[in-house]
Amino acid sequence: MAEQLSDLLHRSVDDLDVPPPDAARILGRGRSIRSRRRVGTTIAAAAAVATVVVVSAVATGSGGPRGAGITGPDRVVLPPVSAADQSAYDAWGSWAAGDRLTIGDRTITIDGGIAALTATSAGVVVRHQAVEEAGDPGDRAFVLVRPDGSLRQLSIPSGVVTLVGDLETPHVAWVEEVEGGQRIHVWDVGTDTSLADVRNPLTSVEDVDELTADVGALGDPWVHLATNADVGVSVDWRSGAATTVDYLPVADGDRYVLGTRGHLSFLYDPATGDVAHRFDVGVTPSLSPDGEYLFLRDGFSLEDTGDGEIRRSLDVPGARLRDIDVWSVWTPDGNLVGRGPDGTVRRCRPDGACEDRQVDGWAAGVELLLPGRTP
Amino acid sequence: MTSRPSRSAPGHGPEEEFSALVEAAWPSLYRTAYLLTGDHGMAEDLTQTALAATFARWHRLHDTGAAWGYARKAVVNGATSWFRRSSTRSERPTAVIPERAAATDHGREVGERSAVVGALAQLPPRQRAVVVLRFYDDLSVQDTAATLGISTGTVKSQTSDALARLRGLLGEDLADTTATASNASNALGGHHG
Repeated sequence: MAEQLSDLLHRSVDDLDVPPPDAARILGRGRSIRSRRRVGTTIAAAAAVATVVVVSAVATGSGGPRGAGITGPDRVVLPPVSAADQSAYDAWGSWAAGDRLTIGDRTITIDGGIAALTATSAGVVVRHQAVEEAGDPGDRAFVLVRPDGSLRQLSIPSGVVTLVGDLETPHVAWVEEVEGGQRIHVWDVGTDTSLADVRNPLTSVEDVDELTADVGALGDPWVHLATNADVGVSVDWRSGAATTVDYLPVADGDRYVLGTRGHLSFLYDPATGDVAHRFDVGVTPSLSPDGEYLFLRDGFSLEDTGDGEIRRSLDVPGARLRDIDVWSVWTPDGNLVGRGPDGTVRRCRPDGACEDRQVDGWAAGVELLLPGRTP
Repeated sequence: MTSRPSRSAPGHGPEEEFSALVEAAWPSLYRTAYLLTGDHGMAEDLTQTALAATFARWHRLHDTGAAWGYARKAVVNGATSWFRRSSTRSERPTAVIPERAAATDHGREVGERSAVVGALAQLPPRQRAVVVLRFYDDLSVQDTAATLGISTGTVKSQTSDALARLRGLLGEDLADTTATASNASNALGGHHG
């Protein structure tokens, strides 16, 4: 069978349409990585005095701030946004098309482009495309866009590539590889301050020579790590307590964490590792921020779902969300938002009601970017 | 395996040498990344990122084979990280095995590819990586273990588990492979690259 499988794998991709490499871009990114390594741990200190990347904001929409200023690394607590702006963000979340970022009812322009979005309760964190490509470790790579369209440059080191956010708090987290393990960083983007810098207590696993870890999900007070040993670690970043489970965590839903093992999904208590629910739905579902709903897909689901998608409550029979983008993401108040037809985003509520909205800045060939996705 | 360029051509600087590696390694690494993720955009990004990381430590990689191996390892690690991160926010569209394509050669290839990628998507990330490295990249058990940072015993057990699951998922396709072995061997030529 081994030889047959080898033949099958080769034959299946022999005629794959492989795009040509962009050697210049690869070289540029390589230089950038090398530059970051040379700077090493001084990145954070350097950021305090280095050039601040210019991010301009031109707010549009219903009376938003025009030319909103950037709040720098001064730890100033920003005034609260209006209830209307917060409500719009909670209901619709955020997305980007080109350099146009929409958050709730506001749309602003991010000069230099948007590499990635990470959603939190305080707004969406933008990773700056220009900084990523230039690779200058002194540049500020991350900016918080609040629901009223105002901006705040963040002191998160530019060498950080992937942030994981929490829709129920203003927190983001990332993992830093250090000698002999990883350090877990938790950051409050509302105040631009570090909340935690703790070591991954899991340093070795049998059969794995070099343990690596990523943040799989973030809650409060838990950071859930997924490791290359197919083991999950939930670390209470306030107390340091940790739980190890045989699942890879992918979402935090208040009481339970959603984890996977093979084609199985589990909802488990991060404090004990006890499993509350077990699912065999083939592909990993996604969990609403309040932990009340699972968004399931067709395909290997045990149910014969026909042509629609299923969103199923844990407690009641689910509603079918027709024509919803399977890549949809949750908004802070528990709606699903994804690509809609003809340059729109489609938002579906848990009761099955869906609504489309035109994407500001969308044009043919422009990719819609949602939080937690790559372009 | 695809032939690999020599590391130090006279009169060529590091960037020219690296560019030669990019040209040679790109198709193979891209296909590996595609089998691991089932997503063209992600395969391109992973391959770019892996090669960029390779260039960043180019001065420590003493020959092209080592550089190629490092890039492959970076692709696999990147795919595994992406899989973990994406599970909560997105699903790979290849997780669903589609209907069989039309009975044309092209349709058959596309349908077969979808079935293979869909079946791989059903494996846990490490099993998937073991399968792709051993049976697509043609690495030995030892080299697979070194690439993944796991023991050879784990590679063997993961291979056994993965084959058992793939046998159920791809039984028909594996049987077809036997029937079309002569065509496949012609198509394989240099295998990949």
